[in-house]
Amino acid sequence: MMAHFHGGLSFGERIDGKHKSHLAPIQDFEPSCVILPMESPFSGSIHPIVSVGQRVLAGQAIGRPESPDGIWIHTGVSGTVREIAPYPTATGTPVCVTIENDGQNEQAPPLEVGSTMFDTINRAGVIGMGGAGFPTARKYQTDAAIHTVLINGCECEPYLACDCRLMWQYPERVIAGASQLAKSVGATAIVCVEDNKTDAVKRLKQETHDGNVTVRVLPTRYPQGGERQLIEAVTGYQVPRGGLPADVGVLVSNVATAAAVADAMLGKPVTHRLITVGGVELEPVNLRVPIGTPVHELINRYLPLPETVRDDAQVTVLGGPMTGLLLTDRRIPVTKTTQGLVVVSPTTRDETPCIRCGGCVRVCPASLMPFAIDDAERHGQIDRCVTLKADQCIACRCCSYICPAKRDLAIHTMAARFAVQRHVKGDHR
Amino acid sequence: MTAQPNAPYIRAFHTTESVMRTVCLAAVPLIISAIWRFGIEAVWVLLTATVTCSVTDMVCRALRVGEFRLGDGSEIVTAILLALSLPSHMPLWAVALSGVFAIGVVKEWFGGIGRNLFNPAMAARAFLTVVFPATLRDYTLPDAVTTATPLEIGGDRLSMLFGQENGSIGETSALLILFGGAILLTSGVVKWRVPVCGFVGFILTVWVFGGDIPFTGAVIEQLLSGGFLFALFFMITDYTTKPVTPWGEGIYAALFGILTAILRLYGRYPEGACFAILTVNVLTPLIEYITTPRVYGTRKRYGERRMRS
Repeated sequence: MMAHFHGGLSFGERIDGKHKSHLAPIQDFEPSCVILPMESPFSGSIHPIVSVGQRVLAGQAIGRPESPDGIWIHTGVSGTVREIAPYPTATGTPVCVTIENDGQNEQAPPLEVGSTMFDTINRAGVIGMGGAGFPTARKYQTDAAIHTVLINGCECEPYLACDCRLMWQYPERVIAGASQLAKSVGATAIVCVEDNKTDAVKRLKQETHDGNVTVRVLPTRYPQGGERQLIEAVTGYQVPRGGLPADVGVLVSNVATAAAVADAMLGKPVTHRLITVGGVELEPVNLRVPIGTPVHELINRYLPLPETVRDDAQVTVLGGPMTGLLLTDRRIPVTKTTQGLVVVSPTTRDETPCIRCGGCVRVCPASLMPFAIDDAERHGQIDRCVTLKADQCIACRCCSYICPAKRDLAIHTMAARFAVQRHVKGDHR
Repeated sequence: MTAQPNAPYIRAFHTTESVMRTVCLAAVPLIISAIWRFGIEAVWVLLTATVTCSVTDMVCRALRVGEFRLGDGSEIVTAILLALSLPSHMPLWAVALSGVFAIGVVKEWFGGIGRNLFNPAMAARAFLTVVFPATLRDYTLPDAVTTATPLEIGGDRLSMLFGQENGSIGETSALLILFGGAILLTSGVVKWRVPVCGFVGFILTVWVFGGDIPFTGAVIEQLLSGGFLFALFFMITDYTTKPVTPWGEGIYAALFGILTAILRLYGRYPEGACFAILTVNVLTPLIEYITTPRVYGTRKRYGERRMRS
């Protein structure tokens, strides 16, 4: 069976810059402080269990969830708690614990192993590290019969290389985590990697010893790393509209999540993550940063551009150039789901009328007609958006990328998606 | 203050203008050969068409949205394609009139670029054919071969390939049209389905119905003569008037090929391509409707049953 999903883009080196970022080895970064939000996506409230002025050790628990299956928060540095107060993050201003780094990196004792594997990984604070941050334990505690666990090492987003470096330098952690996740649901694991990461593939294959985990090489194509696209490319199944991957017997986790699971089983909580910092004109670096590192420290150290230049022609993006979030406040901390900090020069060009070239239809991985949804949304025709099934948009932005008229198709298609989701809530006929 | 940039922060290099530039570039060999063969007459036809189309475009846009500036290049493409599909001894007033008709009526009246129903250049040419047939009178068509036996014209195949036939100024050299088509294909402006499906539809129809007994049609002569190849690469590849779906393009092109062959073999006007294009233009919304791709996750085979659990 040929591995492919519908539509998509191939960028090539000139645009995605991976020939450079893949080769940058992982470096450690020591921030002056870490800022830990007392919140986690899809998780209940989390309360700080330290007080201002208290000394904490690296790896010590800082936040404790209200519910028993919630996510714990840990610090990656040793030092003193300076402040517990609301602080801006990428998602709002939750209460955050700020810890002054004393640079001594004094380690806390390893975590106690919980009663079950899922309890252990919740206590270690493991969430999906590929983007959405869904609690890993909750994803794997499913009633559906799972036959395949896909470990997502595609990293299709241009420029980012942190997953590639992880697989290249720590393949044993990825394979161990993949194996543990697969066993927890009685399935087999497939580590999926795109063919532009040849060294990572080589190292992963050296580490695969049992038949429970296999490595699958896929042709490089954006957005292969999209959960639904990866499932289609590897298994041929399509996740039904309104359903979840578990509905076709598949679960998908990022390679960084798998490595975090392997660490958790050894008593190490999630305190650091790998991120790619750079820009298309800058030398890229792959960093291992403590969670909570303020972004401005990374910018000052690695993105040394004059303030005026960056504000005018270039912007810093949290994440990758295709789907990243425009960085408006540089005080915000790195979270468990931050994959990169990239300087880009966005092309600012006015929208011109659609010339019906069909490019967006060809590249849409959900087989939508973005130009028609765009038109319907701009005219407020929600019924037409429903007919066009706009709710199946995966926000990959391929349509905006390819559009010769430079229309913001993705913005309007995503707006239509939310409108349709509100409209047909609970009814997917 | 400019608007905040949105994801994606990188965009493909091509723009509407660059696409139009590529089409013009692909037509350059045809323009040069036209001037070389027809001399100053061709220059006048091309110039008249370009000027009238540009001016009409600017005036219409000024009236429609109140801005007065140069167009995006699509009106130049229309002008070049229109001029190349006209004979060289066309009266210039007729060229100008058809330019105004192409842009003013066929394109701008329907809402400008991306909204016109018919191919502007072809609609304008049809307009001349119907309203001022006398202007095209001297147009001694290469399609006359349809009435000749293959034996009589057998020796002319080579000249048709290199462009010695009398006809429209841009339609006479099959080799240069193929060269322009190659530019369009390699630059990605045109995808393979349109020329391939159109080609197959055309030669199959000619082969089956073109001869005195079935399956003996003069395929090569029909292919190399008249405006078929020109229309195949330059006319039905027009983005606006073709279906947007990949297989819709294929069906559209195949229908064009079949229809051109039928109109040539049985039609009243010797040149079939022009009316074939206008006919398939009308079918575009229907073809688009039946070839709309099945959205991810709505396949019948997977999911429907599990979904409601």
